[in-house]
Amino acid sequence: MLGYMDYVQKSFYLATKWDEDNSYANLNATARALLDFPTPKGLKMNVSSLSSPNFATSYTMASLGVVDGSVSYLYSSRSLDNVLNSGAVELKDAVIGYRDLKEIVKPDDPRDWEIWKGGVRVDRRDTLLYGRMYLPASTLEALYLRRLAPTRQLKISAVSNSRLPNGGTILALLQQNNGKWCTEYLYSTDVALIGMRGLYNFGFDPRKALPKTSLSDHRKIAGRFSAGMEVYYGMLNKSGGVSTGFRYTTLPSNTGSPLTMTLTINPLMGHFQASYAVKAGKNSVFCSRYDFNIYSYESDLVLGCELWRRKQTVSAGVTEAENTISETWQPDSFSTGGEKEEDVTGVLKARITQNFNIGLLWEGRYKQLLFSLGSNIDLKRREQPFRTVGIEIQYNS
Amino acid sequence: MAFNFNWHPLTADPEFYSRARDLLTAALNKSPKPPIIVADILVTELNLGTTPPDLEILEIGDLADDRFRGIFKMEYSGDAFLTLQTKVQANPLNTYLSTAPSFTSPQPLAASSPLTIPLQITLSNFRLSGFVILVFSKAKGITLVFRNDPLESLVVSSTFDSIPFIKDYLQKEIEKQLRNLFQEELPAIIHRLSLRWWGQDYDSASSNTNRTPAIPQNPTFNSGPSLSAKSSFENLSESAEPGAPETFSFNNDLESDTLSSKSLLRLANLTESQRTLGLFTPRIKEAIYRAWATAGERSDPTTTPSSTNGSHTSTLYSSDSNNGARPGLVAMASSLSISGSTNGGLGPNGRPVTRSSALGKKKKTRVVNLRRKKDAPTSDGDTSSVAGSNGPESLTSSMEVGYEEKEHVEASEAAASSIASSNIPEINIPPSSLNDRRGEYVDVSPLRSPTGREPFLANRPVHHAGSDTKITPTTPSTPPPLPLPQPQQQHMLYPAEKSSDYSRDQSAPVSFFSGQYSPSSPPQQPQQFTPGHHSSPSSVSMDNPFLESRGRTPSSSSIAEKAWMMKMAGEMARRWGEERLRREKAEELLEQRRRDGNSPPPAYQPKE
Repeated sequence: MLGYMDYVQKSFYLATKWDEDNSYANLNATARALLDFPTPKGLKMNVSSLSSPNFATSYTMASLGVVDGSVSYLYSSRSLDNVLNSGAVELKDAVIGYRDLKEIVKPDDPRDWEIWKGGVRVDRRDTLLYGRMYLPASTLEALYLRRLAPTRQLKISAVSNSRLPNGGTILALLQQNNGKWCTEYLYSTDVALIGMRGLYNFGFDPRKALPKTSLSDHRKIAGRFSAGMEVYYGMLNKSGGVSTGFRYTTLPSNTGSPLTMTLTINPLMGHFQASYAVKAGKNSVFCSRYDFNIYSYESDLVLGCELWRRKQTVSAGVTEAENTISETWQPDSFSTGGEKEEDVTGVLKARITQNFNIGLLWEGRYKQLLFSLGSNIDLKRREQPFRTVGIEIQYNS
Repeated sequence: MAFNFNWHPLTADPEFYSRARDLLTAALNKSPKPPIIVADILVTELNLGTTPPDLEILEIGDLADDRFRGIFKMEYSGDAFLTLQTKVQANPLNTYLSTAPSFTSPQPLAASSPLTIPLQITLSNFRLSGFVILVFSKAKGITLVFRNDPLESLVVSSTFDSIPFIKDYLQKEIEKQLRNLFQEELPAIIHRLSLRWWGQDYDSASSNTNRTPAIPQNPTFNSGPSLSAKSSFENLSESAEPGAPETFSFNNDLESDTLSSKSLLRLANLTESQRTLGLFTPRIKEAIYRAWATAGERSDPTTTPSSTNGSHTSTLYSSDSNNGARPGLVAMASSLSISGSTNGGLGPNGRPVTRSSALGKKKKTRVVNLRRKKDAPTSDGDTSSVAGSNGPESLTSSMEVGYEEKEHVEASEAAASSIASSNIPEINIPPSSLNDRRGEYVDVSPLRSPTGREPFLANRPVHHAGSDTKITPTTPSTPPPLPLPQPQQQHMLYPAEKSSDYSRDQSAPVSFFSGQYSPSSPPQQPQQFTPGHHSSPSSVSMDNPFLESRGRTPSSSSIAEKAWMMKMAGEMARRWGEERLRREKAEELLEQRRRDGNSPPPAYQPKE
């Protein structure tokens, strides 16, 4: 389940029209959400509120043997009217799942952002400030997010903890996204790591396409192929890393089953990773991922699925009709599915690795509370298969 | 004196390497590994080589048949090698990210994908140099501590020798780990190994009377003397009363001192029964019962004089009300002279002894000696008998007594203060052994035996950690509580030591003790015991009863006793001070050496 502050941050991206998915770092976000989801441990409670459209607070308390917690505050210069409380938020927004990639859109013209008042430019860049203190651990997290331009965003995150080398680290990330491609430059103080990553979307270029033609092409473009790569170099430890990746994903205009395929290659380490996720129906997503290393011959296979449970309030006839429609995979069933999302009462996520390690997560809403109940089961340990069990409760107002 | 340091027997034992490998593997995997190591570290090959380390004896603080404490300067440049096998993470980005907080992680997509590579590392050409503190005791095994960081250099060769970066990294990491290993893990490993060896030795020894099975790694300090002592002892036993041989056999069997798992279980039963006030007491054949701080213990000595039955102890308690510490002492002496009463006398003495170490020794010796051989000599005189009693005591007492005596002589020579702290604890031990013997003889009531054992067990861990410093505090405390008993005891002990008995005592009695008491009560333990006695009020009250009981047979030693007491107190204080001085000197010496540049230990910090 998305933490409240992450949810607010996502809302900030939405409000400032920043496409988070159009980044090389999120190339395989779908597979990660379906296969690498964390299962809660122990009892964790979250109380958050958006006290004003610009200010959010969140308190977390966890009890896993010892009680610890965190206090976090968030300020956004842009009023976040799209943040909903836990009773109203749609589950698909609160749960990280299959990413339905949207059409890439042409970025705003910088001139559209200018606001002139009496001959003076008064517009300001949107900024988000966020701080979080973990109490017993005395760890401080801080985030500074600034939309420098319609195509540019600066993100500086820092962690301060006396146990870390040098007392903490700072990561600066400059992102440039114009739809067709996205580049990111980063610097981390930890090992003086510098990095660069870029993603290029083949085919349709929103900048050159005329508004009219883009509409007419809507039906034509069923999918998008993207390629990207990343390079890192740690100046202090004189080590680096390279990887390249490819993704094909269907767009909402696709008439078949929505699917996402990714392939990432690390040529230095000889590591290949291929994932395939498909939305097999309105209520289910299946995903598989295969890892292989050509140097060590190590391999790994993970299977996962996501099942959505909906309220059975609609009459049988209608559901049947819906089913028939969904079977034909009419694009409308997805594009107009927004109204029906309200019916979702819960999401079940499950994954199994080749070591028979099973992760289960049930996320849903009970009255005004969002909860996620999860467990990690190791079938190889017969005597004590349940490795972790936990529940996380969230209340946002 | 000579030490026989056997290096090759280690390699000769085929099981040694497998055991050492296991222990090393466990130790290497215990501490958190650096993130680059992603699998368990396996020790695949281990060879100590043929070249033994050079040891230079800097100081020997304690030496006896069954224990040893000394400081060495060790230098090693032999051909030992060690091969490790593990898996490492070859992607530096992966290891970096595993340690970095996720919030500021750059979150690379696949650049951090893992690649684990099997790695074989061979460590060879060790160059070690440092100061080693070695403490050995039969019961507690070997404690070996490096005073400084002994690792000077070593050569690390691995699968990645062709890649200089990785090679350097490995060298650095391994040196770091090794330093940690030497200073923290190795002492624990050696200790555990030594315990195993001793366990085996004891097993074999119980069947064969031979204790010589030397600890392979450790210098075998004890084997020779113990044998001789035994033989002499046996002779004594034969010549002695008919009951004596039984006791002797008992003693030999008493290897329970090592506290094997079996005997531990029995002891646990015993203590349980006492705690729960259960009437049932399992009888432990080969156990040594000690009269310690607990009431039950005290009761033992009291009972012993009157008779072997526990009921007698109760009567003694009642008598405690009488203030007869001095008389009691006298009684002790008298008891020594009188064969029948001797046992009881010893018992009471034992209690006061526990307070003051010297007293404890005498008690033991008194009991044993009187019964078996020296009844006649001890009986010669009451106060004068002190000297005589000393003789028997020494006989009964083990090597330790002899050792102490030597020390005493030295002390007297060098302003009577050489071995202060160490001696005192040793002295204490004998009393315990005496009690044990009594228990054996008499079939002491269950209460005593459990109590005696309990403190012993509890003390064990402490003993390991225990150092001279611990001893010292106990010594000062002892004098005030037991002014009266101390003088008496001292009389007994010192005269005996100084007397001609000393030589005989050492040979014969030593063997005795080595069998029984050395394992059961290492020298350090008594120290700890003594504080417990003082602290517990009940114990004090008990002591009084003893004294009183003795007082029944009060005869003649009050003035002499007082004088002795004063002497003893002075002596103890002197020794204590001397010990301090000695330590300071040793420190200075070490510092000097270091300054001279002989082998500057990095970890060693000058006190300046």
